[in-house]
Amino acid sequence: MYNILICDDDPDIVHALKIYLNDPQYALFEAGNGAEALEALKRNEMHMVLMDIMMPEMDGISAMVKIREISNVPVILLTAKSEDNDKILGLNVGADDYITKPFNPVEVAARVRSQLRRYTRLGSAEVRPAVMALAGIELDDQAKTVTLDGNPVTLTPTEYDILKLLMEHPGTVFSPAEIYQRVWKEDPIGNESTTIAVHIRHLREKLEINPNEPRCLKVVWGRGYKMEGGSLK
Amino acid sequence: MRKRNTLAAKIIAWIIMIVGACTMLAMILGISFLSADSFYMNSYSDAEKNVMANRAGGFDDAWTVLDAAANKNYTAAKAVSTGKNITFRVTDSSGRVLYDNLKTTPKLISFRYISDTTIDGSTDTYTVTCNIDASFPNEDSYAKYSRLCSILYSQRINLYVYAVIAGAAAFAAFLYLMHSAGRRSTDDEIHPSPLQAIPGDIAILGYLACMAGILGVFSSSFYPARDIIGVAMYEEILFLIEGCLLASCLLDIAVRVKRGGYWHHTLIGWILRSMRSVLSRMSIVPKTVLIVLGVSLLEAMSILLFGRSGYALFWFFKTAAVFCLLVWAAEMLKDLLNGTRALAEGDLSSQVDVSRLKGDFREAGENLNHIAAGMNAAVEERMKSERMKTELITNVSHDIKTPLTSIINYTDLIAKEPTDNQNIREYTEVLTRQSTRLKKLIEDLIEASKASTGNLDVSLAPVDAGVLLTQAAGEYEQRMKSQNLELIITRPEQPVMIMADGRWLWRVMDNLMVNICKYALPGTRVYLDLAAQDGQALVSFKNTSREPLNISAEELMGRFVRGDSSRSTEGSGLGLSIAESLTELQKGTIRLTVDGDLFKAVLSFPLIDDKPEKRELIAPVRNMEIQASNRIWIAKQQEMQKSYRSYYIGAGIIAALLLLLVLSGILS
Repeated sequence: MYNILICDDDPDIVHALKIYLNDPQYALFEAGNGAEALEALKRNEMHMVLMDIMMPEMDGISAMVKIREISNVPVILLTAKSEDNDKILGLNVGADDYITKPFNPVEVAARVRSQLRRYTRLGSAEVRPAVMALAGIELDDQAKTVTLDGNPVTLTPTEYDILKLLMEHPGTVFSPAEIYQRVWKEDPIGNESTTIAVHIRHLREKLEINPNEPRCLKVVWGRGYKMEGGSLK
Repeated sequence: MRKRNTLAAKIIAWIIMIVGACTMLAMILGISFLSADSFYMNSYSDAEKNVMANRAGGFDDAWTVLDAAANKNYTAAKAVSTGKNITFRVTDSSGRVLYDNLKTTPKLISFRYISDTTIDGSTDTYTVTCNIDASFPNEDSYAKYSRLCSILYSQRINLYVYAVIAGAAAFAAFLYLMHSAGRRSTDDEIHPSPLQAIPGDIAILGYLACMAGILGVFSSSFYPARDIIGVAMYEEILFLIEGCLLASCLLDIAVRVKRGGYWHHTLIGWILRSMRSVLSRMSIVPKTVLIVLGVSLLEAMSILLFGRSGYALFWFFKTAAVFCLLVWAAEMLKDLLNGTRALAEGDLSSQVDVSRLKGDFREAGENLNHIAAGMNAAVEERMKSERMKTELITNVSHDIKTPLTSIINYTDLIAKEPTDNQNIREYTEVLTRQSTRLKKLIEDLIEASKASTGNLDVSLAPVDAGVLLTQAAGEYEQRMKSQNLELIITRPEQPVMIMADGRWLWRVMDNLMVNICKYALPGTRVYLDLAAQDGQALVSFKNTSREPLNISAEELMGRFVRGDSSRSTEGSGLGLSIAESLTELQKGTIRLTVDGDLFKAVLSFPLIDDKPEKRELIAPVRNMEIQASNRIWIAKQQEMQKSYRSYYIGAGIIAALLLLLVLSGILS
């Protein structure tokens, strides 16, 4: 049983979220602003907080700062503010994820699940040398299997090799030519770029909740690709 | 302090000054007389001899005796010695004695008077030997001068000391008077006398005229005879009067200076002031004419009055003045020119330092500063309004997004409700589609407003356009395939490096690709070409339109314009407009061509010489990105100001004309 706190000043949105997160595993709590959210957090142990930013009395950013003083609970900010600066501010003050309104309900549910799993399994992940883990993606090089938040993902051998290369060097940008060289083990011939772009697209569709807004398998436009796990750890 | 300024103190000071100055003058006169009689060069007897001969009347008596002896009037010759201590012997050049009553007593002052005299038609040199009995049995002028001489000789060095002491006392008294002039014992104020209502320069002229007049009158007609005492007394009195006048004049000046505004209360000051006030009220052309006429008039007058030498002097001063004025004007003109140049270059913050400018130059400088301030305010105002517009759009969008979230979510919930009513299904579908469109529209609106106002964080860094193009193609391959479109990419093998922000360049390409997917005729080919030409990287997107394009390329670029007139399909009509703004933010250009059903979009960016490096690239790029983002911001500002450039140039030309006018006036 997970306790999830939904904090938004718009009761319609709270209601809709409650419908989408309707799951026997979840106990849902409501709050109308940051102050109420803090109260709720003090009364009950929460496993997950979904919080709006623009709210009366105490806004989400102030509440976020206060929550981090008392708790390590995963917080997903859910807000109409879509500017990069707002996202960066939210993540900097301690949010674990960021979803902009209007949101896709399926995506919200998936992110909640992902965060819960990571939070509750924190510290219990067994470390095996052949297993690489990054932002919920686990790659077992002996078994040649990949799991996303514990769920197995089916990859083609080429996709697997590309993912392995990127996961071995998190944060490093690989140009298409380099990926071609190291995965195909051949010298690049000039037209490999599109092929790799298509493979990456497929990988994103399989590994990312929202392939158009990837959180870990990132495209560095005009340069190449990289894996990132920073903000979600 | 005040008590020192009492009337009594002033009178005493006056007396000290007069007495001191007179004493000093007497001493100086005495010294000069004594030195004329060799008191300082020879022995006492020589000095006494000189005094006896010259001052006491020795030579006069000798001449009388000689004259009488020559006329054989021995009675008259003898009468000269009567009652006096002097005796004579007159001899001619051959030594023949003409007259002799010479006494040779033990104490004698003896001197000779030698003169050429014509007697009985023959001219000869006669010698009169004069003996004065130094025991002075008779009381005569010789006895008197002998006593005086002995006193003066003993005091001859002391005279210097007395002169210095008297001079110092007079000078100290004068200083005190200068200090206390205009002050009273009652307060610390300066009290000008009624006389000081007269302009200062007129007063000086008056004093000088008095002094010159007195000197002229007295020195010419009333100069007394050779009596040394008389001369001394006379000169003393003259000096006293002149000195008092000079001291009064200086004290008068002192009071005026202490009162302040000395030049203000002079006739010259008044003339200059009125000329200035008249000139300053005149506009520049009559002013210039008047100045030139005035200078020419002075020139003509100087020629008429003083002739060639007077004109030469005037010419010298005029040339010197013109030289100084020209250099000064050029200096001020330089300041103004720098100001106009800065304005013309769009530097609105530059201010002309008017403290160094005078007259019309100052006015021109101030006007220039006002122009700059006005322009600055206008630009600021515009920037502010642009920012506010963006903020408004962003805020409104946020406010719309919240209810929209509920609309989308509940539409989705309705769609999931089990129902057999086909109409509800259909209507829900419309709701879903339209609410999603609204969401897209809002997002595009925010982006379009930010892109068009440059309110975006753009970090330019070296980017391989070829890689970006294939990445974009990779993203869309699936969708193209599903639309039965064949994607054909041509690009050079070597990297094509440009300065761009990958994220925003991707958005540009993304928008173009979305358009292709939306509007391309299924079953046709789509060409993506990359070429490096003339220092430009050209990325072209070509596709065949599904609908006839009855709209020009320029119109397509406009906001809310869409290739199909029905407006039924998804999209906001902002895609190309956003693409254009984003491209321009990255210093690139986008060109659309419509040729029948062929739609072509060409992006062009300047090439850079950067080779794509490997790992090392990432760290240096960060710094570059920061610098580049600063540059972008500055570039954006300059962009905004560019539209005002024509105004600056106009203002600059007007200012320059104004300056030329002033300069030509001064030059002539």
